Amino acid sequence: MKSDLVKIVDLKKHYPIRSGVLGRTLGYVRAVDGVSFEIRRGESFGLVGESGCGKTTLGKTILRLMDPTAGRIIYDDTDVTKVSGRGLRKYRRAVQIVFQDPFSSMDPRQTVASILTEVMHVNGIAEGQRALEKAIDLLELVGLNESHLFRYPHEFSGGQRQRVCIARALSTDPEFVVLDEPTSSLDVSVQAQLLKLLKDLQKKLDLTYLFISHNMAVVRHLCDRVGVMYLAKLVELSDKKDLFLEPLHPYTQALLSAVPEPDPTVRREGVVVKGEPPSPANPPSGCRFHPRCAYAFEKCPSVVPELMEVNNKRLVACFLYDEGHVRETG
Amino acid sequence: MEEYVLSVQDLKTKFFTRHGVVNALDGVNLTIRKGEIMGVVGETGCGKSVLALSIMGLVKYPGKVVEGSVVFRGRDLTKLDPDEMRKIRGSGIAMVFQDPLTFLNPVFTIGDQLSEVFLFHAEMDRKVVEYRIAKAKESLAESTNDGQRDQLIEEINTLERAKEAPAKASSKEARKAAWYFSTEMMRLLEISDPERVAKFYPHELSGGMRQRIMIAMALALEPDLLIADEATTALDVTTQAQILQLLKELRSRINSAILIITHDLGIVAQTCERVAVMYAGKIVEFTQTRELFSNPKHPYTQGLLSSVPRMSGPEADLEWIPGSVPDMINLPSGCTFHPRCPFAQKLCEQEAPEMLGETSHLVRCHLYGKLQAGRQAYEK
Amino acid sequence: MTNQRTVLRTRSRTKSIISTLRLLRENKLVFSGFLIVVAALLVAVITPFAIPYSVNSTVHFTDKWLPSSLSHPLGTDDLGRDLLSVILWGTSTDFTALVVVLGIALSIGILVGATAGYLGGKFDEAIMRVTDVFLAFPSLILAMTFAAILGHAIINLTIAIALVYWPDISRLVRGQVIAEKSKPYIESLRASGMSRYRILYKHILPNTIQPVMIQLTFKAPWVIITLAGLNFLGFGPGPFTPDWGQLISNGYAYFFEAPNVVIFSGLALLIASLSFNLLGDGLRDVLDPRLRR
Repeated sequence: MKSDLVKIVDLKKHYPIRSGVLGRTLGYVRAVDGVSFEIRRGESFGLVGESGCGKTTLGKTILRLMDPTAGRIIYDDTDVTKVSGRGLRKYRRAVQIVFQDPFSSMDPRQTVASILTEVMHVNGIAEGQRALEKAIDLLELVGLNESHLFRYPHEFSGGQRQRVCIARALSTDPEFVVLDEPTSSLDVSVQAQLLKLLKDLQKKLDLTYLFISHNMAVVRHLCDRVGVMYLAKLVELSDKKDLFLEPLHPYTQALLSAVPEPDPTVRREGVVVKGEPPSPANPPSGCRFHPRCAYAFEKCPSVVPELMEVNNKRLVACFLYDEGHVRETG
Repeated sequence: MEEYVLSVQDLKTKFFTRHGVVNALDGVNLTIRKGEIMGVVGETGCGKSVLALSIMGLVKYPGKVVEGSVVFRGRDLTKLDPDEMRKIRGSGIAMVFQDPLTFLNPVFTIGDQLSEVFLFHAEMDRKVVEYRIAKAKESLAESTNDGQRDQLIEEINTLERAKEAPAKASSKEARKAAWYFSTEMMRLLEISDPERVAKFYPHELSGGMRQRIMIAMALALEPDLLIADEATTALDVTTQAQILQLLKELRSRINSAILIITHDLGIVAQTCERVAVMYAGKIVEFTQTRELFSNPKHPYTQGLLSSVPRMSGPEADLEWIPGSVPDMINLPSGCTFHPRCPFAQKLCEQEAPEMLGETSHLVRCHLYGKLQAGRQAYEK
Repeated sequence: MTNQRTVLRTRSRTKSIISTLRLLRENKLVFSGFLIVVAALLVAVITPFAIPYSVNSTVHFTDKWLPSSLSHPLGTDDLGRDLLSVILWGTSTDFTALVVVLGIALSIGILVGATAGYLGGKFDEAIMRVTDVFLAFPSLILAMTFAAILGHAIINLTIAIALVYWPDISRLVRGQVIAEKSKPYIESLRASGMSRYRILYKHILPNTIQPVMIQLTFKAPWVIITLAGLNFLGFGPGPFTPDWGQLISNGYAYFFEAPNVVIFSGLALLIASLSFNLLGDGLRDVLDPRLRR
């Protein structure tokens, strides 16, 4: 059994909604509201959900790009929830992120060489000539080469830019990389190349991934375990195989059946879920999915379901799998 | 006998930029049948959006439709003057874009903007009569008094007769009628409580709701053709599924053809009946959706299909097309796909292939023409 | 290997300067604006060496208001001085003042604006209220007040204008810094472990300097015109430190008798302002890194 690299305990991130001249706090947007899971060493953990479900906020909070409102982040058996100064810098070196939009996640005035060597300089990895040589190694690692060294971001195609971003993330020799929708702005043929690259890099460098995405098919392709988020909460967590074969939570079922499969002979049976996700500033009571859920019963609007274990180590937050409910309905 | 709503012949659109001439559309032929859902699929920069804009006559400077024709209702749209084109755009062909917020006016309510579509384009005099009929029928359904019922039936009959030569309606009545039809349209798009939503401003609605409103505006005048250019790209999958479902249902109810322009092969597979694959400003394959996915002929289509991750079936490694989309100013010679094609021969560099094969499955590739013998030998 | 790379890098820098100039040249109007501004700066530097100061300080009452002739190509002014020489000296005064104003206002403006924009919060709030006070007064009247307090020397006028001008720049810089701060790449820099200080000085400021510079070129004529205005209204240092505004003010009363003075010094003012505007327009296009190859 692999050990846990990252452990998140009851993590919360609330944004205040301010208004008026004095900036009075009117309420809170609960972007992440009590999420716990662990990421094992060497795996790719997929975090899926629709826009506004809090998956990106969660990723950034884990990286300490934002400070959590409550809860703990444990990295490699060390609590990093509140580290600052040198401790934070050490943590930042070990964890890196690749953002969704390669077009805007680089300083337009920097050449690739300067982007990569600056990161190495700041983190005390390498200087001068050694840094340049390492930059070339990194470029070759991500499928670019020395000739790309002195070019500006705007001279690259989307796929190439994302490769540069990956090279930048790898330049601190991290163990853990958060991939925040890294392929969603790319064309499919480019996406396929990038996914292969990410898989190869993981094997070669022994990386652990947190892969954040709204694209279920990509997650199926890349990840080992998958967590499904809905309105700031984790509703299901299980091995990829089980999840795609037999989704448990009604939301996961709806999500999976909504993905259009590129094969006209496959017609996914399933209900098209009604309505749209409510605002995270004012989430529904009880189970947050209940207003859209086809199976909701009297308990759902009043009691908040917790993640519970069902058939061998799958976690789901739904009363349908509650033993009591199963007994009653037979 | 097949009936075409729209027939695009040899359409060429060029953009004259400071860096050179971009051949965004390089001789596109396309026919859309009455009431069908047709897909155009391709990657970024293949010209699929320019195709939509060229059909709509919305290509902006420095772009220009330089050759070819777009025949709609027996007229060539490329030769119409701007006023006539505007009329076609309202009631003949309608379009829905990726980002609805840029097409909705932030300072007017949804209901106002939808009403405007009716007031501006529809024959309001006639619509007012239809509105009165609808209202009378409503009261009829509620009424229990026999005398009143007879009166209402009489009124409806008079109004039905008046529909042929409607009297001039006052602008107040016209507004009322337009508002009524707007809410009806919203109901058709499964927007719950349309009377309330009609009073909202665009920013108060979710992305999916805005897109429904855009579709309502587009379908308000019952166009013969609806073009949806990446209309669901910005939406979440569950919302996308709702909208695509809706489009499929609406098509049969209002009997208009739908042209779906997308980069998503999944959307094409699940919603379209026929599909055209575009590459570098040309259609490279054109056939039934089922045929395309079960028997893709063009190497580009094959590459595209094997690079999409799937939700079902065995987890195969993804393949991809080497290289990247060509520079549209300096297109490769011969077949524009040859530098990336695994089967490319000398001939492919020298000569651009024509559309080949039967009309039910056209493909722009030498492997099905001059190089056929070689391909068959290879396949054996 | 090392040499090869350093060469590569310096080459890429010279290349970018050359390509900037090449892009500037593409538009004739912009390029002429650029040439005129460069020429005026050259004149401003050379004049004090080429034309003796005595030309300014020697009065020939007998030669007042002469029309153009061979010995005085633009005629003479109200003190009988050669108008061409005086206008050239005026160029020197105006452009020196311009450089000084920009220098002072930029230093204060960038320091204050960048800090306010980057830190935000209460500090930002306080700074913005101070600039509001400055911006609440019409700029010329505020400059007149400062000039009246500071005295008539040209350096005092320059300081007065700089004092009026810095809130403008700091607001501009603040706005740019805030816009830049919210771009995604800043977050990716933070994720790579960079300090706030480094992000501000190495990334945000260099990226905001370009738009600020472009705005400055548009604002440069305002500085020259304000100086001319102060001189025109009699806050200037007197006839022996000539500048365009003062020439216009002196010639104004005799416009119909001797139009040369007003026409030519006005023309100098107009051409200088126009050139700066053209240059600003061109720079906006050229400095866009996406246009570089």
